[in-house]
Amino acid sequence: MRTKRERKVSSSQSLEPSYDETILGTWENHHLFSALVELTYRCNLDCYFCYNDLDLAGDPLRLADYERLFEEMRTLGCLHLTLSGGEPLAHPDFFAIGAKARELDFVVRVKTNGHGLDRELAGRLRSEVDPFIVEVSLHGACAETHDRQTRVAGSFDRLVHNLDVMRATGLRVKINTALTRWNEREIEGMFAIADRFAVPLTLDPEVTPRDNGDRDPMRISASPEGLRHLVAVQASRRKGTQAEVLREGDAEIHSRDPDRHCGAGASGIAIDPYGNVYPCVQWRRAIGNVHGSSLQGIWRANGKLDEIRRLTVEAKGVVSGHDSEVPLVGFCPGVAEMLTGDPLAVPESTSTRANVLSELPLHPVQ
Amino acid sequence: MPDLNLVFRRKDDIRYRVVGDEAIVVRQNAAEVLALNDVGARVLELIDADKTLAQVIATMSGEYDVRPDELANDVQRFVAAIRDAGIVVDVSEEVSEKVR
Ligand SMILES: C[S@@+](CC[C@H](N)C(=O)[O-])C[C@H]1O[C@@H](n2cnc3c(N)ncnc32)[C@H](O)[C@@H]1O
Ligand code: SF4
Repeated sequence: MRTKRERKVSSSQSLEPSYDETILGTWENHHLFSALVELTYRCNLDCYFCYNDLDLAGDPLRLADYERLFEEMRTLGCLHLTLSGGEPLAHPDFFAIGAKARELDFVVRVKTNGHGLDRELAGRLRSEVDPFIVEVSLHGACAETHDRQTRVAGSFDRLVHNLDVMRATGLRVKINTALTRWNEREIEGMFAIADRFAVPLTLDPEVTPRDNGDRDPMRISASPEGLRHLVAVQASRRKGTQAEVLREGDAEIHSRDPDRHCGAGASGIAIDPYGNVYPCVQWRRAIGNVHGSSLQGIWRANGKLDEIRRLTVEAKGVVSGHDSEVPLVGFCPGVAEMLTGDPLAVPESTSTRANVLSELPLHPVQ
Repeated sequence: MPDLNLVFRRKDDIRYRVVGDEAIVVRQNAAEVLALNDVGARVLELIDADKTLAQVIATMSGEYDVRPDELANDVQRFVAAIRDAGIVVDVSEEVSEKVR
C-alpha cells in the first residue's frame, strides 16, 4: 500500500497546486471541488473598476447559514473554498466564518485588498483561519497609480506596510493585479514589489464589466502595447519565449479537457452575499438560491446547471473552431454572455486581445 | 515500522478530501498536493488522536478482504510513509518533545 503518486508544486512562482488529472476527473464526474463565496459587498476601498453590483438586493446570509452551507459543501466533497467579496474581512462574522472553514478542513483562500490586515488582524487570520493563501490586490507600483484605482489616499503605503506584517506573521501571500491602462507601464515595478516580499504575482490581462452589465470599468482596459509588454516581461522573467508564455496561458484555460472548455458548474460554483448560486464568479446566471434550497439539491438536480454544463462543452468548440493563427486566449462564456447576451459569441474585447497576442514575435526575449 | 500501540494524528497544515476512489491531500506549508489510493484514504480518515494503529487496523479488517497480518503490515508501512512525508505525527513524540 503506497501513495499512488506524489507531486510537488511545479513552479516557485506559483502556490497553486497542479493536479490536472484530479481536476479533470472532477469536471467529468460533476464533483463539486471548489467554491468561491462572496461574503459581503461592503468594502473599505472604492475601486473605480470594481465589478461588484452594489445595487443587488436580498437577504444576506448569516453565520448560521454559512455554517450549514460549508457543512453541505464538505458533504459534497468540496475541498477548495475562496472567501471573497467585496472585502471579506468587512463581514462582521468573518473570523467565525473562517474558523468554521478551517474546522471543516477546507483549503481556504482569502481574497482581500489587504487594507485592514494590520498586525492584530493578520495574527488572528493566521491563528483562527490558517488559510492556504491570502491573495491581495495591487493596482500599481506607486501610490499615485494604486490610490487612483482604490480612490482611498494612503492605501498603497498601507498595503506595502501590511504585506510586510503578513509575511512576518507567517501568512502565505500572493499578489493579484488586473492589468489596466493606468498600471501597464509599471509591470516591472509591481514585480519588484512582489520580489521584495518574496511572494508570487499574477497579472490578469482582462478588465471585466460590472456584474450588472455596466461596461464602464472596461474603459481602463490595458492597451495593445500594455498587453505586449506584459507578455514580454513574463517571458523574460521565465527566460522563455513569448510563444511559450502564450501557449502556457492557452493550455491552462482550454486544452486540458477534450470535451469541456472550463469547470464552471461542473466542479466549481460561486455564491453571492444573498445566497444566489452561480456557475462561476464570472458567469452571473443564477442557478438557485441557498436560502430556499439545499446546495446539494441545487447541485444534483438542476436544469439550469445542465444547460451551463452543455454550454461549456459547446464553448470548447467555439475555441477550437477559431482561426488557428489566432488562438482565442482567455475566452470566457460568462463574460461573453454579459457582453453580448450569448455565452458562445466571442466578444470584441476577447478577439482584439487574441489578435494582439497572436502578432507577437516568437523569438526568445533578452 | 511504527508500533501498533502508537497513536497518530494528522498535522495541522493537512487538508484533504476523498475524490472518487482517492484522497487528495494538501500540505499547506509545503504547497504540495498528494494523491492517496482508496486504502490510503481510509487510513487517513481513521487516524485521529484517539485511536491506536491496532484500532485503525481492526476497523479496516472488517472492510477489506485481506489476511489480517498482511493488512497490519501494509497499514504500518503506509503510516511510516505518511509520517516521513510529514502528513501525520506520532502523538506521543509530540508530547515528549513538549516536555523536553
Ligand atoms: C472584487 S475583488 C474582492 C476581493 C478584495 N476586495 C480585493 O480587492 O482583492 C476580487 C478581485 O477582482 C479584481 N477586480 C475587481 N474589479 C475588476 C474588474 N472590473 N476587472 C478585473 N478585475 C477586477 C480585484 O482587483 C480583486 O483582485
Ligand atoms: S477592494 Fe476589492 S471589493 Fe473593494 S472596491 Fe476594490 S475590487 Fe471592489
